[in-house]
Amino acid sequence: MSEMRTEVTDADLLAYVDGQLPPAERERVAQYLDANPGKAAEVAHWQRQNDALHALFDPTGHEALPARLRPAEIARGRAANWNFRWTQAAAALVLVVLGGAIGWAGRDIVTSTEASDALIQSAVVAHSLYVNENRHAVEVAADDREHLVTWLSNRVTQPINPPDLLAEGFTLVGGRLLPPVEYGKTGPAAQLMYENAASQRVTVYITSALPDGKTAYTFTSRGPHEAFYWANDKITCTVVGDLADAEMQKVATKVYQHLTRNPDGMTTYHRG
Amino acid sequence: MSSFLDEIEGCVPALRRYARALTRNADRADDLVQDCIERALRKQGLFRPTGPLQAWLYRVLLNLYRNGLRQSRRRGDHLSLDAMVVEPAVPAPQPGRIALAEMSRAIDQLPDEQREALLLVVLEGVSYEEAASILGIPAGTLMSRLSRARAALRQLTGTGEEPRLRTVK
Repeated sequence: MSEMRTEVTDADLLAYVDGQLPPAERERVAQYLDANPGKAAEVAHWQRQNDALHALFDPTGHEALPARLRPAEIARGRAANWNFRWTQAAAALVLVVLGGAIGWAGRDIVTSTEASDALIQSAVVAHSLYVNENRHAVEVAADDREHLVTWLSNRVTQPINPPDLLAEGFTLVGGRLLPPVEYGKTGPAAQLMYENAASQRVTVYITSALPDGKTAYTFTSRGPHEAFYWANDKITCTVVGDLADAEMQKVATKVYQHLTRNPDGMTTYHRG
Repeated sequence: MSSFLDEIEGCVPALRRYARALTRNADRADDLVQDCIERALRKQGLFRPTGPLQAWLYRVLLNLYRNGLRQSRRRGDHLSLDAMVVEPAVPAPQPGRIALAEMSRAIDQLPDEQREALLLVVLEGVSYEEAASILGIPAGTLMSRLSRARAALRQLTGTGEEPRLRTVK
């Protein structure tokens, strides 16, 4: 213990009133105040300021919480809102993009199979692993786009033409190849990574179609990540991100439109 | 997840109190707290490793409060800066105590940075170190804001005990 300080500063007096002094210091300041009535009056006034502030505002802290300030209520509202909006968005897409082709068959397209669940899980895990990488975020960078497209398309055995998300503020970082979720059942996956100016990243996880080739879509959140999955007779695609709801929806919609409107967009490359 | 919600709920009364004291408006205060909880739920994946929940929530609340101030200032519905001009003190009805209405008015007249700091320390009982971190300022700056806030409040609220402070003209 160092020698006892004899000076009492204004900071000491403030800390005394704010109850932020250790007991020994408190005692020292109290003795000082006994001997200095001018300072004591000032400190007493500060104490009355504290009393008045507590009298004014402490009651607010004891009021019953209205529902809108209950975190559980807010969380429920968020989930409902999110599902509602996804349902709307997805329903609109189904009507517009698939409606003409499949007609009433569309009633049955909302399916949730074990296989698609495994694909989503795999897409989310890959997303959370690689979005945190800097130097090794992708295997092939976007500046080698031609090679990226050729390589991934050949390995996935479907043309993979990275969607253009510039309008949504995202540029392509590059892509990588990932192993099949279940050997023999699904093919390897291509992961495309996009990034915006705020360094937020979105990944698009594409495999060739599941054996049943059925059309399906689903939307889900896994931990902090949001995922939008859909499948047709050619590919499955899972868009994963951690964006605000509205932005995530815009990006997923764009990817979906790009890959379904133009499923053979790579014909010039793939089939000559 | 549910324990996270419980933890946040445990902080809500304090957040409400601080928001009410900052805004002196019950509706605006509750709007701020609601926004704060929503933001917390949205960011929950990001904050966990970075320290105590309550301090983080105070920081989020303050940011929302300051953004709101900026917006209302852009709209022009703000108090003018000369609110800081010291008015003659009205004698307190009870000797030795500060009239609450007088204190409420005085708090209104403090510059934002002093009010944020003083309320965090006095009302919320946050330690100096944590308050400086929540406000994003060095400890010395915090102390000088507290000291100036105290001095201003003292001038703005008369208690009848220090007649020498009030010169009769």
